[in-house]
Amino acid sequence: MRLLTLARLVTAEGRGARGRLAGMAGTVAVGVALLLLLLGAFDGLASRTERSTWTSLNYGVSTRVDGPAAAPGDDTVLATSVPDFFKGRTITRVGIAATPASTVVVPGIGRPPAAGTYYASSAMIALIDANPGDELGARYGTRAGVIDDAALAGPDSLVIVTGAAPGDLNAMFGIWSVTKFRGSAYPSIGYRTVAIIGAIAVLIPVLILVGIVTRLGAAARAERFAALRLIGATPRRVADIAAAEIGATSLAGALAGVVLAWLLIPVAARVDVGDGRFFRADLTVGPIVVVIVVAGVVAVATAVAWWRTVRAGIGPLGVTRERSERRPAALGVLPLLAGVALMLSATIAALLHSPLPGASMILIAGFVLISLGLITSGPVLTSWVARIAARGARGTAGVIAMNRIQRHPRATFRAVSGLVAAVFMVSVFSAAITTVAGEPARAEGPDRLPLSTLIADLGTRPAEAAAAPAAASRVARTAGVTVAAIAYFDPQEGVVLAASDAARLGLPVPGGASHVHVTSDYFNGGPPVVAAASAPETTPAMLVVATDGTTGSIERARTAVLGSGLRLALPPVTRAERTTSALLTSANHYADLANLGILVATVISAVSLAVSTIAAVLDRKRVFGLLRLMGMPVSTVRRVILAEAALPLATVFALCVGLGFLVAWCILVGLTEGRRTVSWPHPSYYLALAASLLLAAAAVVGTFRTARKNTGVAVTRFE
Amino acid sequence: MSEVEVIGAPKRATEGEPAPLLRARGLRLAFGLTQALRGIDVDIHAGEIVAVTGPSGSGKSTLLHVLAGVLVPDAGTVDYGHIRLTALAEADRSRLRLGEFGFVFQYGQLLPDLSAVDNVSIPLLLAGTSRREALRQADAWLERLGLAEHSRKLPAQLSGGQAQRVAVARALVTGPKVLFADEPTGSLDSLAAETVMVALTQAARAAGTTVVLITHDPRTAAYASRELIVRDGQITLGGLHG
Amino acid sequence: MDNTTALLGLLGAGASYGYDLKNSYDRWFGLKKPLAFGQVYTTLARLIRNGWIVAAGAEAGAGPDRKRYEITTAGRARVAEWMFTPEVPSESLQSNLFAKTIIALLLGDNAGRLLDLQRAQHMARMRELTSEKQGATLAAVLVCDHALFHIEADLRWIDLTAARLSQLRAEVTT
Repeated sequence: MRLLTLARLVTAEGRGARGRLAGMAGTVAVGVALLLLLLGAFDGLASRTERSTWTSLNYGVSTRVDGPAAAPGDDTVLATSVPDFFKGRTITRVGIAATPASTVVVPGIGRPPAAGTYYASSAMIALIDANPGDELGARYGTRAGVIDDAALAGPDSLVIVTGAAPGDLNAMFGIWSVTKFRGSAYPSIGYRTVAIIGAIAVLIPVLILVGIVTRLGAAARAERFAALRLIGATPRRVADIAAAEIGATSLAGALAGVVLAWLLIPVAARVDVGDGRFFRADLTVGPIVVVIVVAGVVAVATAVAWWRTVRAGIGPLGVTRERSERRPAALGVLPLLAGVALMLSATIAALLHSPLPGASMILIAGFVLISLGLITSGPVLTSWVARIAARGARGTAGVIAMNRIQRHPRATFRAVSGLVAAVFMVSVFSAAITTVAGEPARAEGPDRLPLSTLIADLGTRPAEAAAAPAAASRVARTAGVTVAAIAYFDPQEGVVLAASDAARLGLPVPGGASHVHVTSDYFNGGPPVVAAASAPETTPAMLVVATDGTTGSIERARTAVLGSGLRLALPPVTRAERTTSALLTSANHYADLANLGILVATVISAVSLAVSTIAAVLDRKRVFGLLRLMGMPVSTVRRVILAEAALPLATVFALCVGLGFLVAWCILVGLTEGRRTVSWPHPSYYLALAASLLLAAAAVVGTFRTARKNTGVAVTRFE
Repeated sequence: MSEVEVIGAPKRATEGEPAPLLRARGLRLAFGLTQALRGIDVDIHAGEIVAVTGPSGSGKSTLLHVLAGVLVPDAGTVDYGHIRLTALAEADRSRLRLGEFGFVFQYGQLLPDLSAVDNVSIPLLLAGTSRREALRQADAWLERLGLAEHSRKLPAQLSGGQAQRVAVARALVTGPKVLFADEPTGSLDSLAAETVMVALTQAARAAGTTVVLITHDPRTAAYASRELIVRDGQITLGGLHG
Repeated sequence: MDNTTALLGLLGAGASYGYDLKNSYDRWFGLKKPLAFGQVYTTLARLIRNGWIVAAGAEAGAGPDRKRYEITTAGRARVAEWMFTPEVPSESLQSNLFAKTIIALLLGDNAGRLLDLQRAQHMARMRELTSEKQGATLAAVLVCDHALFHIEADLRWIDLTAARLSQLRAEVTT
């Protein structure tokens, strides 16, 4: 207690000191709140995945059954899970065939639904009720009830469970015999790796921020500490006082952060992450995690303050002369190189199909090393570049700034380290999701398959082939449908259509042919390559349904196809839906979340850049004031400030981007053994880069006013 | 016979009175309720070394700032040659200070991260001289002031007197017409003060630079050719020549 | 110290009797060595002889101590000349300069100005010594330095006194 009283006396008196402590506590509060929300979200993502992935059927005690012979027993049900589409949204549809006395429990429902009835999530019910029955409701039968939230990912989840007779189950993705429905938090080890990396990505900027903020006003404090040393305090005692100050302040800040996070949960729950918003409960972090976060932040901040004060070596006469920093050792580059080596070796081994044991842990370790390595090698690289730049500098501002950086590479790099970390993380995640976003654009034109045409792959059995044309013509009679044509696979490649159907679909038909051959690529948006063909001998393989183009017509046609009795191999989709559905992955949800966190972290990093920049000017306010008195224009001071922020950022910017892509490539390729890879990032990535640079520029420009005011004539007078 | 000549103003060779280099009339300046300058008239002629003395808070630093065009007085005029300093905008005064005046302060005027020679080159760089030429001239000045072996050192590695001589070199490197020195020996011991003052006055005389020297130390003031005493914002002695 | 002119200066503040004059003198200048009565009267006689004071309105049957002395115009001029002629810097200077300052304050005259004049005189000497040092042998420089430090000590006293003038004025005029 005496220590705290002493700390308060030494460090908390005066308006400036109180403002500094308040700023410190406030920033820690924001950091902790951010950390808790993101931890909550990561945790929530896992628990909601675990809760809702029972619909994938393959995590429970279940076996895949083939052939129509299987029948449900009292302790097993037959189930299918297929995606359904409605106006651009994906619906998870689970079909269940059960005996009336089934003991199997369906999550969120209880007893399996009877044939012809359905249970749906609240969002799904709202969707059904808001649209005409022939567009959506008619697909499912009679409503039996609502699926409880406990079986859903979020309030926006579109899930429907339909009851069916065993023979009516849609076998397009296989039929499962299920004794127990169960989900999994991490559908694959890849997801878990991505989740851990995402958490680290958010943690690092927050830690950097806490580091910068606890350094605020260090110069003013050093003077007071020197006075303490003069009257006999030992260096240890002074460090204890510094630690007590920071400890108490960060504790207050961390507790405020917990309250702030709690207040922000309703706001955060409105943010759409991945496939929908969160339930508020999912964002709430358990008390143990809260205690760990608060204790961790306080412990780290306190330890850092203690260590830093001991190392500063404040003598009884104070830090009268500003000492140059020790030149950063080239050793700082080592973690970076080690990280790159680690990631590359794991990835190359994976590419050679002899993956290293614990490859995902190696990838995580490599990622951590690279992240840390960027921060430790920043000062080294900055000082190298500054040494070269100082020699080549021409103007006043260049000479002043480059020499400053050369003498204080750590301090100048620290100012931009938050942004550097943010740029790196943004690059990693932007590159990682290019596997999704990087769909090559295809030329559109009047001769291409319209986006309003549905294609349904059929699994017609020989016995059902005769009934297909009648089913097709039933679909064709649906309002808004212009053509419903059956197509057959060519044994070599492509699809065979009746010439009359092809003509009605708008394909160029060679004269006199009874049937035509169309390349498969046409149905993925490629150009129509049509040739005359002989009549097909295979069973119907595809139903092509052209509509008048309105969304209502498309959904009516889809409903009609689903209810036509045709045996579908894949759900009826437009070619646009086909590409998106193939590429949706859970990894993206984590990337979305990480990007969100990084966005906030970038803003905070920009703030800390502004703080550091102002501190760098205030350190030299007398000498700048005197130089301005000598006639140096204030624009030179501005250029000095700009150069001191720009050089360290520019030094590592390209490195961050490059390493970000390398890391993303390693993670994707390493985890999938080369099945997926990165390509050019989405334009929003460049936007994010530009935004972070703009924020940095704004932060620096924002300090100009302070710089001008603090280097005026008045500063050098009355001292 | 005027009192000014009694206290030892140099007799000028020419019979006709040459126009003063700096001419101030009726200077008044208040900071809030404090009257820093209360009607000051001063003439400073080319080639003079004028010491401005007086107790602390008497307004001598303010007088220097007004004469150098750093501060604008509430009333009164300052003429530098034919230029009315008090009528110029801040940007023009800045340019004038950079081109025509040099400054030496008590302490803390050297950029801590720059070597001595880089510090001296700053005014030349500001004036648009190339880096190579600026460094050459800066080195020449350091040598002239006996600092050749210290030119690559940082200010923290120099003694107080050496740092002040670096500041003198920086003030004179652009060949200013007037050197304003505000307590240049204020934080030095007697011997270092003497070294700095000898270097300053010899270099200024050799370059024909006029010096306005603010000091409360009589031994420093003794290097001047004339003394002005400021008390309570007024000049009590030596303001105008006969 | 010039006792004669100091007494004359005290009379300048107003006509006075010999006894009062001695007390006044002792108060300001005689702390260590009070003035003997005999010395007061010989000095006064000398002042009368020089025409700087007159003995006025002696009351009937009174001895010399009952005479009232008054300063003449010539006496006032003599005091002013004395006050505003700076002393040559020397070791005996202090007492004289102090006397001048007190008298100037008693007379309501510009004591600051006389200090400034003295200061200027000292500075002129310092400038001479400083320029003598240029290019001189080290021995000569050390001699100059000795003189400079002594003059500087005087100057410090002058500066300090100048800074305390208003305080001193209040004390003198009560």
